[in-house]
Amino acid sequence: MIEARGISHTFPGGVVALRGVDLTLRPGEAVALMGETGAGKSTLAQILAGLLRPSVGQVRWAGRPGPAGPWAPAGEGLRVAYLFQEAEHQLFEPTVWEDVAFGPRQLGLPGEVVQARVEEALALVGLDPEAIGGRSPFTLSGGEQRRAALAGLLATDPHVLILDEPTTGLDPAGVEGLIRLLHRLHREGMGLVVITHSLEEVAGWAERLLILHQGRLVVDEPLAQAVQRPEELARWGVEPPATLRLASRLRARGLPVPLGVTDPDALARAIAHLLDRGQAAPPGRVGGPPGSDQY
Amino acid sequence: MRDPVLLQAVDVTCRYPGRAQGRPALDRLSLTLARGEWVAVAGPNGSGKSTLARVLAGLIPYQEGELWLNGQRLTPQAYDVRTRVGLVFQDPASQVVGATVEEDVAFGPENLGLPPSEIRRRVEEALALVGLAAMRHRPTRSLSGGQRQRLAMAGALAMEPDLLILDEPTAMLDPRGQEEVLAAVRRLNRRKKTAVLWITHRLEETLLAHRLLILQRGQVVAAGPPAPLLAGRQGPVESWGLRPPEVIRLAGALRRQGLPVPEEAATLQALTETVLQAWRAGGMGR
Ligand SMILES: Nc1ncnc2c1ncn2[C@@H]1O[C@H](COP(=O)(O)OP(=O)(O)OP(=O)(O)O)[C@@H](O)[C@H]1O
Ligand SMILES: Nc1ncnc2c1ncn2[C@@H]1O[C@H](COP(=O)(O)OP(=O)(O)OP(=O)(O)O)[C@@H](O)[C@H]1O
Ligand SMILES: [Mg+2]
Ligand SMILES: [Mg+2]
Repeated sequence: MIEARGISHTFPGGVVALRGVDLTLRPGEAVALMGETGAGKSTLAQILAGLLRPSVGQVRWAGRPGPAGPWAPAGEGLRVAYLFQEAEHQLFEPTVWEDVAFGPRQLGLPGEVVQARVEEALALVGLDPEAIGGRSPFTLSGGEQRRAALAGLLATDPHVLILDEPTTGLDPAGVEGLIRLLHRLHREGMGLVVITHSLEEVAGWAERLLILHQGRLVVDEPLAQAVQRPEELARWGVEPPATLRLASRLRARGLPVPLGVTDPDALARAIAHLLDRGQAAPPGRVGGPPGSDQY
Repeated sequence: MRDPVLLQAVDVTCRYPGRAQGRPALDRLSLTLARGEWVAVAGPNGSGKSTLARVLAGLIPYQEGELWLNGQRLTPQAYDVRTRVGLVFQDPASQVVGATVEEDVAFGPENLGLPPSEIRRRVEEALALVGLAAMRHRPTRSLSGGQRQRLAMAGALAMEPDLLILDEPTAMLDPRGQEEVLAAVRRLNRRKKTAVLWITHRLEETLLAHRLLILQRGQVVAAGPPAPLLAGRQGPVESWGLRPPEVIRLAGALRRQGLPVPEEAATLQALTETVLQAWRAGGMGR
């Protein structure tokens, strides 16, 4: 459990990045953190990870004044791991294998366990240990580097995993794989905080949605509930997925499709059902002028 | 009439030093770019997109094939095309050179030896285009990820190149930023006939391009107008390790339910109208 009380942060030079944020992350909770460019997401994430001390306010990790860090031995507190927004700068060992092995070694695990963890972590992020393990991380492509950085964190098996825009630079298969992985880690009880600009990426697994706007927490509620108000999300710089937007446009024009459906096929079925049932269109032009329902 | 060819790559092969074995990063890749053309490039991680960008920008040598720019042959060794080809790196942090936002954008034009008034004009224009004008005096190291990405874009715009190569330029931007950067580049593309090579994993962005190239293992495996390509006209998009953007999947889902969605429908507006028409027609329009 991470408890943050009255968090404000002002950077040297005077930029106010966070203003009075209160937040409690329950053990094993799966949270999406969103908001426009410069809203304060990375700042808050780094504070939750214990990497940055807020100028005002208090954070407690499982009741302690600091997290244990990803490499602390068991029983020494809450182990929190953080994937930087520009994760390629997080790689430092001469080979990919060494880089991923760094965390488990710090944990003092025996050699065979380290080996198993590295192999498993690389497989989880879709990197072939044979082909890539021996290469320098600095010669990888951008997406390969992010996968390697994520593998390094997974190999430490933290209590809470905080990922700052982890899908940046991943190809579509990589994004899908990551979403499946997050699903699974959540089921296995890992706490997750994932920053993203795409609601579609988190709609399937996140329980809770946080939105920052100019340093204030303006949305903090179950995600399934928040997605029923796409217009409000758009106001905070969070673009609802195309499926939600289509539903919202059709409703604005009078077709009573259900709210909150994020799966394209499910929405298409709902539309077909309405049309087949002969849901009567109002006489004349349907709804308002085109475009009036855009946001 | 077709616009004249700006850039041509013929069977270009590129291997990185120390990786003589295995598949080259670019494997006999060919492409042609006309003046004023906007070409999108997509493909899985490690397929060679950034390598292509670096070769075309003259940052790394290639070993085989030919490269032509404005009818001039570029030698395989490093060549200086800075004034004509602008590149925004995938990792914007590695591109920042100035201490403040304004200094960083001015750096390129200053190196071109332009007169101060022209430098000022370009910096103003570029900062306005990416929405960073209010942050001009901010230290560059104090920027958020998305702000840094906008800065890298401003630096390339200020060079006013004939060809702008953008390597995942919106990866860290919010939806509004993505929209704004797309609009800025579109304006440049239309007004100054700047050719654009837009590398991205966000396939919905490719729908704005004249053509889409799909890269796999260092080769172009499919090319054509984006919407039909992403709708699966040349084969299942998944077989290239990609996934159609959500609008295209939505269009497909509606089609499977019997709605008459045209193949080129690639906007929410088009889908909305199709559904409403079917509704007005009193049923599925079947
Ligand atoms: N080291 C720093 N010094 C001064 N200001 C900073 C520093 N880091 C961030 N800021 C500023 O604080 C604000 C919040 O930044 P933060 O990085 O938390 O935003 P963000 O929500 O993560 O944005 P993005 O989506 O672009 O990554 C921004 O205005 C940013 O410019
Ligand atoms: N400096 C380098 N030295 C050696 N090999 C490299 C280097 N940079 C890239 N590679 C390799 O070349 C291939 C193509 O890499 P490239 O960076 O062009 O891919 P990409 O399509 O841009 O991928 P991504 O979507 O991950 O950015 C990959 O197999 C990569 O591992
Ligand atoms: Mg950030
Ligand atoms: Mg790349």
